Amino acid sequence: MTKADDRGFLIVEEANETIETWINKPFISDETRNQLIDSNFLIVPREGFRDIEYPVFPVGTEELFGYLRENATDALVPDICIDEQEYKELALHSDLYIIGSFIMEHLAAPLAVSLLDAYIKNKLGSKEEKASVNVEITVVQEGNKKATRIHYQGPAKEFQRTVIPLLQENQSSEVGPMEDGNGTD
Amino acid sequence: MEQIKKLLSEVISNNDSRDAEKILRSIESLKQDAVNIGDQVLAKELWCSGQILLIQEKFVEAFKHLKKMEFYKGWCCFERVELELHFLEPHFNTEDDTYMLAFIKKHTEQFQSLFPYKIFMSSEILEKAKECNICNQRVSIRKPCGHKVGDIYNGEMCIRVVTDCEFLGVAMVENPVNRYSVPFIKDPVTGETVDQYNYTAVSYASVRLASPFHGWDVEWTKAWHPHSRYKHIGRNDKCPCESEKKYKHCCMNEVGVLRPHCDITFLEPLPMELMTIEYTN
Repeated sequence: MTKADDRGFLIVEEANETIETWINKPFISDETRNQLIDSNFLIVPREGFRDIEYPVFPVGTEELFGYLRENATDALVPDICIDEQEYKELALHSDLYIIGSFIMEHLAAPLAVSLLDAYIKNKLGSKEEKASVNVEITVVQEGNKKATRIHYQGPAKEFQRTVIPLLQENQSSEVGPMEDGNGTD
Repeated sequence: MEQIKKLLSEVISNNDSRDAEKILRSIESLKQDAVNIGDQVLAKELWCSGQILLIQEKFVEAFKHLKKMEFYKGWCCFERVELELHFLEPHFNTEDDTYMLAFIKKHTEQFQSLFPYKIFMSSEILEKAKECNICNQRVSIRKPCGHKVGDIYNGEMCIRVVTDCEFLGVAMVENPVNRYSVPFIKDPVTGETVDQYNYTAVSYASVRLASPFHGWDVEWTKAWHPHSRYKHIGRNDKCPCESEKKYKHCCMNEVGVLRPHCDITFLEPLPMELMTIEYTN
């Protein structure tokens, strides 16, 4: 399902990956893999951006990761899917705030989305009113039976209230437009 | 400290006469003293004062540039104001107008809205290594140094310094992070930079303001422009209102051409000769 208007887009689709998919990537060392096994909420890099051969994270991911670790509860175990020495950030310098890509277990998803929303508010301050964000989350159902990818780009202040209802729905159901009556396929 | 606060609070009356460099030196000196005795609270308070001074000075400087019709320089100063306000916001109530910060924020946005710049050049950079400016430690994703970007330590704001990067390219964007990256054209004959922009709207405001701290409001709407301004537009040409329709099927049949209109209300009374409507393309 794809909805789009002049303020952004919302894509909800099936995904094939799981947390295990990511922690078994070739760029993850055994040492890092052992650390990531206990995580239920991973920040994942972007692969294959233009002709860059290594995985990259959006600029500001270091701050985000610090925030997540500091504010996570016992039910949420965030981590980042990269080896220490391979970590790199990509700064595209548009005022679209690319928060990043994440994969998470479905039970952790509402908490993770709320925490991401809190980070966005904290980071943007008064700019939140007019800012746009880009966030991609993949939610893995229990037992790795299926996964749903939700890719949101739109007003920062509408991120949480747009995405939270989607977490509660079956991935094959129709969902509402980004704004009542304004979405187009 | 109290004397510094007093100077900052009287910016409306003293912005042209005060010695900003001297005030800044005082702030830096007091801040160093505070750091030396381990008073982080005072050091942070002095950092905030330094920020307020910088914001006020850049706002006044921007206004002066506009008065001299140095519009791009004014634009760059407004960007600096915007950035420094953003850095200050987590540490100080910028809605409090003791230091005219709310006024400056509002009017900076208004001035920026009058500029003609629509497309900007946005750099794309791969940041491979960074350092913390507080401890000079290389940034570690799993072993953080403990200093958070944006927080104040020893009277300085923590940032990340990129020590290794790769320039990937440039994109043309409508909403950049770096507003200074305005594209200008070059004269093909002389090679000199040409400022090709139309500054009528921002000039209209700055000409009518006697002080950077005289308030004004702006509302973007639409208004009918007289057809006499469009005698060069043929009936079958596209309508100047940008509807994509032919002129003869659009505004030609109306009282005028419907164009974007900027309604500026000045809070200080204007002399009669300045109470005019101006048209621009």
